[in-house]
Order: sequence, then structure tokens, then C-alpha cells
Amino acid sequence: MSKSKPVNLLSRLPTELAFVILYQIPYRSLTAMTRVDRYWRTLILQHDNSFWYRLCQKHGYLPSDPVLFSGHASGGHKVLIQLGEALQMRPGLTRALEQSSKNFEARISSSSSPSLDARIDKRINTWCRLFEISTILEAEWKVGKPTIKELRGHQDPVLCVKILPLWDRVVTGDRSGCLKIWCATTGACLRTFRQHRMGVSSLVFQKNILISGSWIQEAPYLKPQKIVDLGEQVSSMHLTERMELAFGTLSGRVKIISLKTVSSLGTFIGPAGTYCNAVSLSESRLEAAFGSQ
Amino acid sequence: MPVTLTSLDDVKFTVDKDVAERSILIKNMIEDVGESDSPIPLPNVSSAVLKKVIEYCEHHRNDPVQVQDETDDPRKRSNDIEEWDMKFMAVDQEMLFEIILAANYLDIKPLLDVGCKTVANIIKGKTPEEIRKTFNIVNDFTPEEEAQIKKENEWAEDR
Repeated sequence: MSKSKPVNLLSRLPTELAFVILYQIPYRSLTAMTRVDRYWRTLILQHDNSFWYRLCQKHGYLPSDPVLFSGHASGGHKVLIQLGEALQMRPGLTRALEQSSKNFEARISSSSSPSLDARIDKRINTWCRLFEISTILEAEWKVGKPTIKELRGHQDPVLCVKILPLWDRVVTGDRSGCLKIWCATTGACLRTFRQHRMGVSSLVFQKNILISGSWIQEAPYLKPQKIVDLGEQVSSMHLTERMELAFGTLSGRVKIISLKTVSSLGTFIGPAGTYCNAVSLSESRLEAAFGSQ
Repeated sequence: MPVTLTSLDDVKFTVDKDVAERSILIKNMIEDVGESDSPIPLPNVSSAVLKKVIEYCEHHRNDPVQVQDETDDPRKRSNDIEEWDMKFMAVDQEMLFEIILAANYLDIKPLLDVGCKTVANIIKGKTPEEIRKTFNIVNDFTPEEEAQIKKENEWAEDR
């Protein structure tokens, strides 16, 4: 059998079928495809919103469950998330990228070829970039070793931790009511607060306000050290962007208060003999979990 | 009741209705026209390809109909291909792409999926040069462009 002239059948496929195939191959092969010829390079790199968005979704780089992001779910319809929003939901990504690119550049400059061109563009301005960077960082996370930093200073068991990546801070609260603020990079303890007389059960942060909740009735207290007596022993909290604070108590109640107007928005009573372990508040929904001894 | 299909090159195939209706296109045609003895023309499919497609439909005649919204949970989709399908797809490239096009035209989603997965598996693990060779793609980048592109990808290598 003699074949006359080999034909490029792959590139002749209708583009929608080409995308069905591209959707199935791993990132490494996609990169290889962008290097095959102009046709495939253009096809793959120019369909940012449809193709790369879907890939980000497929690999879990986007919130795919609208329930988790009720702000975007309207009547069961899936709302496309804007790139800016997606990045906001992952504030750690930019920092991780910064670190990873530093490591990469260090590796490049220590090798024989001192190519400055290998600098990494740190802008994430397309879904393709978001996908690429997420994939790379995920791979690094899998193969690499996380940096372990010990934060030493608490005398009693730590009950809650809040990480504030944009502020480079870690906040911790312990069972005796001691609250500490640490620098996330150096691991140094920056401030210690001992206003609570009993265990710090929960920490929430919104805008520039940190609130800690305590088992003792005086809590929660607001930064800077403003103590509000709610007459309740707080066991869990959730603070929304609209500065509405929902908190669960050791007596099994859930209360919602507005921090703007300092007024009560509602009280809910859980099953008898339980305490509220976790609480979550959104615009239209309050969820709480209760437990008992 | 059997259904008669006519290929591009005017070859007639008589198959059972449930086999033919694996194709949503044919199913809709039968529903629109009603039961009839006249053959259904498939002017986009050659007899060689139609024979293969019918072989697939006969083997999968009892499969539950896929109701699959791929955007629902795309992570569930995998690249696994059943053993029979894998053997079925062990054909030359020309036939492989013909089957994909026919499955698309006839609207047989599981066959289209298997075909596309087969191509995806061929691409996987290959370098750009190997992909070009496999699919007879001509490299139309200038050497400068190629060097530039390679550099851009350096960070992402080996992922």
C-alpha cells in the first residue's frame, strides 16, 4: 500500500471538535500543542473565556459550586465569575507566585546560562494565565516541601487561628484567653492581648476589623480592644462583608447583630443541651452546626 | 422494525431500529417522518465508515442513554476508554477522523467522546515535534519565533 501524500487531518477538524480533544489533554500537552504550528497556537491561546475558563473550572481552580458562593448564584443560574473576582477569592495565589518565580529565577541564575529573559511575567490577566499559574503552583506544592514555621509563645492550647494573607499576619487565640498577633513571614510575635478572661473560641476578620469571641460573657471584643458585653458565651462566629456578625453560643443560641448600627437582627435557638460549633451567614441564609458532649 | 440507511456511495445497510436510533440525528428523522420503508440517506458518510459506526451502535445497543451535562461536574470525566472501544478505535488515522466526523454529524455522543479521547491519548506525552510527525503538521514558525516560544514555556516545563 503506498500512501500518496500524508494529510494533516487533525487541523481539518471543525474547531468545536478540536476543543473537545484539547479539553481532554493535560496542561503539558496543551503547551506542546501551542508550539506545534501557528494554527494551533492561535486556536488555543485566543479562546480565553470559553476554553481556559472551562479548564480552570475542570481543575477546580474556580469555585464550581454556586452554593459555596451564594453571592453569585441567582435562582439556580450559574453566573460566570469575573477574573478579578476569582483572583480575589484566592489572595494567596499572588504571594505563592512571587515566591515560586523567585525560586525559579534563582535556579536560572545559578545554572550556566545567565538568561535574564527567563523572568516570569507575574501579571495574571487572562484565564489562561490563571490556569497556567495554578497548575504550576499546584505541581510545586505536590513535589515541594512546605516551609514550616513554628509560632511559639502560647502558654495554653491554641483554640483558633486566623490567617490574614494580605496583611502578612497570623492571629491565634488560646484557652486561657490570650490572643497573639504574629508576622507570617518572620514568625515573630508582634502583639499579645490578655483582655479575655476565658478561652478565645473564634476569630473573624473583615475590612480592617478583627473580632475575637470568648467563652466568657464579655466577648466578642473588637479591635482596638473594644469589649462589648453580649451577655453570651461565644463559641463560633461569622462576619459578613456587610459587617453583620453571626455568633453561636455555648448555650446553643445563634444571634445576628449588625456592627454598623450595633443592633440585634435576630436570635435563633438550637436544640436543647447543645452548643453552637459553627455558624455561617450569607445574604439570605444562616447555617449553624450544633454539638453536645 | 428494521431501518435502511444509504451511504454516500449508495450502499444500503439494514439495521434494527434501536441500533439506528443510537444516532440522535436518525432518531429525530424517524420521529419527524414517521415509520416508513424508504431508506434514510446519509450523504455525509461513506459505506466504509458507516459500517464501522453500525458496528459500534450494535455493540452498544443496550447501553443506557447518556444524559450528561458536561459542565455539571467536569472533573468526573476521565480519559478511560473501555477495552472493546479501544480495540474498535485501533484504526488508521484517516478512519479515526472519519469516525469522529460521522459521530458528530450523526449525533452519537458516546462515539464522539471515544473518538476524541483516542486522539487526546495519541497527543499525550508527545513533544511538539512528535505531534507534528504523527499528524503531518508543518511547522510554520520562524526559528526566532520558535526560540521565543520555547523560552516562554521554560517555567512550565515538566509539569
